Amino acid sequence: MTEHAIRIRGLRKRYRGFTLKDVDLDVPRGYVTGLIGPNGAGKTTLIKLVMNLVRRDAGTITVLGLDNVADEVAVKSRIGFIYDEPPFYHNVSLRDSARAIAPFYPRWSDARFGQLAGQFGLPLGKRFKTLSHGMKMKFALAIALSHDADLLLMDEPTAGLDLAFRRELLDELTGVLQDEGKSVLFSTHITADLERIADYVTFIRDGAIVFTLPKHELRERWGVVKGVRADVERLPAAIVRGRRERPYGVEALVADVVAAREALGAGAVIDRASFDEVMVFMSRGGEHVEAV
Amino acid sequence: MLKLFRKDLILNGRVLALTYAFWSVFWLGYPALRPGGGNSFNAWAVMVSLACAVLPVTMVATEDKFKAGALACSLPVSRDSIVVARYVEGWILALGGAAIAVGVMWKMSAAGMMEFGAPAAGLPLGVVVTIGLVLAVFLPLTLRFGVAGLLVFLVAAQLMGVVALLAAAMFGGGGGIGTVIKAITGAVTWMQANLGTVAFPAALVAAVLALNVASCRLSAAIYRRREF
Repeated sequence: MTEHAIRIRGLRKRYRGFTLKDVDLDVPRGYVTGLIGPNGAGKTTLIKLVMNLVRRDAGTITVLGLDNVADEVAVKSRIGFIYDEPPFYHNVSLRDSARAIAPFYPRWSDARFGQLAGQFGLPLGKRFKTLSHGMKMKFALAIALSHDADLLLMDEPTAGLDLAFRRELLDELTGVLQDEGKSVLFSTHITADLERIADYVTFIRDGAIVFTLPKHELRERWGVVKGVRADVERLPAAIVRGRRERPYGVEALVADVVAAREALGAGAVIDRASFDEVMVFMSRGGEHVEAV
Repeated sequence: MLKLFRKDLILNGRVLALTYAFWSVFWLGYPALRPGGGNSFNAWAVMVSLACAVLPVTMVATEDKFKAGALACSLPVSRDSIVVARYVEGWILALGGAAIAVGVMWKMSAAGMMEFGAPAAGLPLGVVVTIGLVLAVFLPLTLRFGVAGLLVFLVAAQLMGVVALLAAAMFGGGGGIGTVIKAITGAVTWMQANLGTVAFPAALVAAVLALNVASCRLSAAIYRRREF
């Protein structure tokens, strides 16, 4: 068994005005990896490339040890895929949609689907178009989880959902995933989702992977140094991930709070970095001035 | 392949049934437009075949409307299989639909409920050739560019026809298109006269099937490149 659910090497995809640049990425098996980045960073493109819904210009993608193009059928039978806008027929009932999809998956379980539908409160007799966005996502989730997929790929599953529904969906996802050892890669630009379910965090910006880290490392080791310009300039360049000038001083995002404290002394003001702060610092390319 | 048929039938059954019912009203009403006989059963059957050959296009159009092509392509099935299934189910739907309509009208006509002339011997051949030509031309366009692409093609073809007619009227001669059409009809007439009653239909059906195989390969090649 390979230790990576997804292994990407040198992946390139060029669109007019956007390029995914020689991406290398390992998604560990058995964990939830959150793919985060600003709008237009390349999250959806990356996920679609894994699903072979768009054609890559260069590079390789291995999913569960198999090439995603050469072994496309075998790979897709082991993936549960959720789109940001689930592409089901609007005028068909949920029951019929499931009936149409089920035979494609050798490990599909009607019992499992029925159980999830009950758990999610899905009205199986209703047409897809009559559902709210949240219920549509839950239906997509039920489909993705009913064929015992080894890997779940989710593109912005919580986008457009209100806070309560988002939390409910994520709780249900975590509940379902518990003890099942499944791998998950989900894209989001909502940092709270990462806090809630991710084990690993991958940050993507302008079509390039900036980092992949275990969430706990991000939580425990990353911090925000607050001070004046001279303080920030004393920090070792290797640990500084971003800086911003604020009306009352300078802040720096650092990847090692211990090293930062050693450099600045015990009196330095260093806060833990929240995911929001990491996102804000990293999204702007690491250096920016905040307006008064 | 069967899974794809099943999926398409479940997801498109309602649309197909409604479209067929819609066309049936026209088919049943057509003979009434020319009361007192004189309606050609074969001409009517070709018209029915045209409509039935568009049924698979309706299916692709519905898929396009709901952006469900991405759903099909995320299932564990190759894109080539999706395209081949579309052609096979296209033939089944179109031939089945035309056979039912022709059969029903034949019975009604025989019972004196519809005013039709007697069907000519070439009726089945006309149905098969019509369906084959429509599928071979329409499916690659629809699979790659959706219904919008098909409409653009049809409008462009109309405009080109108008331009060709105008050019012929202004400068004389049939022009390139006229020459091509004459060559094709000449070849078919020659085949009919020289091949005999068995070989001619067989050759024509073989030509239509070969055209569909080529069209299917082209569709598969372009569908492989389609991005969702």
